[in-house]
Amino acid sequence: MYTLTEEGKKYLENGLPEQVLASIVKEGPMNIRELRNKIENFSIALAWAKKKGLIKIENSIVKFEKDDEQKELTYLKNINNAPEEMIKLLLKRNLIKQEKEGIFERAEKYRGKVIDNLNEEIIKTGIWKDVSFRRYNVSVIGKKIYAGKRHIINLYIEKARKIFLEMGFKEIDGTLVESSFWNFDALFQPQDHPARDMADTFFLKDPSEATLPKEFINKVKDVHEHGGYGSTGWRYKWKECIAKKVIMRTHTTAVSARYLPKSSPPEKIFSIGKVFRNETIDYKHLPEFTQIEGIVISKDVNFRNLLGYLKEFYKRMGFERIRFRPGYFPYTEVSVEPEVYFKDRDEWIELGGAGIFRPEVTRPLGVNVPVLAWGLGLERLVMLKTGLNDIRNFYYKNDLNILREMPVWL
Amino acid sequence: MAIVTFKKSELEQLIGMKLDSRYYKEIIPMMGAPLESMTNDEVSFEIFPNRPDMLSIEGFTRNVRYFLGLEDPKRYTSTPYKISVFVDKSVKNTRPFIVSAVIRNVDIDEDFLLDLMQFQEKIHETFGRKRKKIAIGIHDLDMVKPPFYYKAVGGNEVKFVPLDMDKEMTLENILEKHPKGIKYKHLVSDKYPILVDSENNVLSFPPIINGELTRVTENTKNLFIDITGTHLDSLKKALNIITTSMADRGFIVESVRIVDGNECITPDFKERTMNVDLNYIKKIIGINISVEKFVQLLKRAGLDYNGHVLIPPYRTDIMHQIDIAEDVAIAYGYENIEPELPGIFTRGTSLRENDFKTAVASLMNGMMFQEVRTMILSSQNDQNEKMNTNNNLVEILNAKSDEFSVCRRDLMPGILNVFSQNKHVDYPQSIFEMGKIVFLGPTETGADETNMICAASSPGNYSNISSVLKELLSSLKLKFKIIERNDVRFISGRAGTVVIDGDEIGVIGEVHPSVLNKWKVEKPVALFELDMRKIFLKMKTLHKS
Repeated sequence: MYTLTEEGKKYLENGLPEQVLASIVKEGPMNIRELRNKIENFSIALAWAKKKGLIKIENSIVKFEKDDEQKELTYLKNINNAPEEMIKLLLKRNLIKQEKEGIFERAEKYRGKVIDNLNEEIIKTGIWKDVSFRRYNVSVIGKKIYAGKRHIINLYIEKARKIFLEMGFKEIDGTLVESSFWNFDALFQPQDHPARDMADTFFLKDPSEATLPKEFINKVKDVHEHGGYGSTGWRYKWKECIAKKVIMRTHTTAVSARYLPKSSPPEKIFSIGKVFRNETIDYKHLPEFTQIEGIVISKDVNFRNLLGYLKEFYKRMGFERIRFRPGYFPYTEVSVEPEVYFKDRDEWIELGGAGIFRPEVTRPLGVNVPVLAWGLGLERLVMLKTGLNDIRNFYYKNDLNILREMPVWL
Repeated sequence: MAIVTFKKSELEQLIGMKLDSRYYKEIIPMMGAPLESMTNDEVSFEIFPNRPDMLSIEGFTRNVRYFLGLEDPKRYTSTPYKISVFVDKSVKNTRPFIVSAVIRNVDIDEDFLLDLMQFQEKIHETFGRKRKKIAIGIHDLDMVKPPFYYKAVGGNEVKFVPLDMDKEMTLENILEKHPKGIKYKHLVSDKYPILVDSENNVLSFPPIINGELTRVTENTKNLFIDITGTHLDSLKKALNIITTSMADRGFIVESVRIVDGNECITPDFKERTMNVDLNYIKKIIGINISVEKFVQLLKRAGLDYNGHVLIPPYRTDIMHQIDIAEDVAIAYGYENIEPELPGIFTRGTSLRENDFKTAVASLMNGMMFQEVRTMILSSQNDQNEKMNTNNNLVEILNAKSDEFSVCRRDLMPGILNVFSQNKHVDYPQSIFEMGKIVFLGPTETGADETNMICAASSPGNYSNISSVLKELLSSLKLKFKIIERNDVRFISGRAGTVVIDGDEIGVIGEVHPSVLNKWKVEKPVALFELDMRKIFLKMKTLHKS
């Protein structure tokens, strides 16, 4: 919206100064000094007349050249119909100005209209009372967007952490690279046990040899060779060099083993982390996966309590039906494999192992009370819960189509 | 993991009752033998490594009969020895031990032979540690003339016809050409152990192969069993397992005299006794049972009681009274033990470093970054070649695949792999990972670890990713500087070192097109990777008031 300036209004009434000038000299050439007295705004008149080529000046005599063909005056009368070029020119000559329009004036244009997008003007001015809104097809959804989400496995890890923290457990962590001593020997796994085969365990080339804890070497060696604490032991020759071999930990139980000498019962401990097995990759196996480890150290706990903890954990994880089947692990006795029931598949699925640490494990490490222990698998549980059936998709490939579609409420 | 497969008809005949599917699916697994699979005719169970006595169909069904209360524990006897095995000193440095037994009046059919072969194979694999610790030979006794001699000889000194061959071969030849020789030759060296009869006929070349001469057929009437190996205790157990299985079939077990300087009669069926404290057992399981109930439960586990627990000769696993406790618990039935949470008060305490990761993840999610989770295990190719670098890595000795033969030194390669695997997915892609990296360091194991975060956008540029970095560190109330760095992984002039309080905590930059080419990533990638543990420690020291 434009309006005339004071100058503009004056010219509209009296004509443009250069046109006034031109009309005077059209009647006959005139000396410049004489002209100056006849015309208001003489310098403007002279400059524009020259610029437009309306006049010619020779020896201080101003002569008529041609009529003005530009239509400033026409458009000054009807400024809102002016073409853009003309607007620019008139603004430049300061004959018009842009009107600062009030929000109410601007909003006027919506009055009585059908509105597409609601905006600030409509809301603030109250003009919405006098408009109607275009009806949408509310079943049509906008463009697809993607939230940034946690990885589904980490969501389950957070859930498991929360469950154990709520039950009063203390969280600990350990290293992925471990000595055979803490991963196997301290857990009373004989040195020729098949799990310690090259076929099952990743041994490291570099680094290859670990330092062993002096205070426990002989105690662990003795219990393997001759037993003690009421046990016969495995009865074979235990070798330190085998215990020194560095490996990728095969279970988080190594973290618990390291914790035992530091413990002051009663304690409840958990840790969640990656473990490694020398497997080739397929739809349900990867050489690394996640284990949920827990131990309860107290003179007052028993196998019934172990079942209690397992049942409580899986219940909070959303499994109503759980059963307990005998299992076997070299470092626990009484051992158990918890199984949960999957409605969709009408099947009992084994998800981990648990038991009471053998005295041959706890006594050499200075613990003389029962220790309940479990190592529960996570990935299989997540796969069954989410219906994902190829582990490679969300670990190895991290298929973003899958990860972006994962639920965040478990 | 040992899986044994039995014919249902044979199994049910030996147990002495028809079993419906509930027995296979629910009852027998509760004895400690999970059902692996089942068809109309056959059934497979997993046998745990502590129960090699259940690898044979006779041992398996014996335990089922006890468990179901169909029978009380039996005692086993053997008849006096008639046959001797003389052990030559020469075996001391090869495969030092041998134990033996004779089985008389056997009645062999095809099923029996198949069962026997499965049992032998499974026990070799598991308890026998792939024949290294134990190897069993079963022979037709009537084809050879006792006494027998166990000795070590040179590779070309002796020839015989090995099983499944039709001509004589030297021991060397067998190791080179016979399938079993090729498979097991790593178990022998230098001088080779052989078992021969009084006329130098070869019964076996343990732990490789038996002679064709003593092959067991449906016409065999008397068996000779030899078990050789490196651990005498285990040999004796294995012999007990196999001979008690034969005795369960109704065959007669006859002892053999082993003469190796000393004399020893095998097998030895005498039960071991163990003192067991019933209160300990009740306390550790958490059940209340009377002595009578205890004795009854022991019987269900196949254990006799005379004030002490009597451990049958085929049990290899009982080392401590806790093992008896488990047998009692299984006989009592895990399903009858009501789970119960104890009332032990302890404080729940989380690792602050893990809480920190959760907080950072929430911030990254808020900036629309999707979390990913890549693998710790990686390859030289991914960690170094494809990144234009040559870092020392923590290396695995025996990886089955090159793809997983080192530990990751950085998260970046995994992140680039995610972009590479997701080219079909909607862009823009903004992703991040928080996870451990492993590197050489002065620790107990020689390897050190820390938590890193890597955040990346594709298509992405320096300006955008630096805004993300700024928002992340500002939200943690950390002041930082970026100093230009030379780094072959990034475009020159578009890479920086992130510094907090004078310490380098990570890198930021636009990934070099040569790296993108190697990963087959087609859109520009900008990323930063930071050491979360260093950041965590900085926060601890700088924010201490």
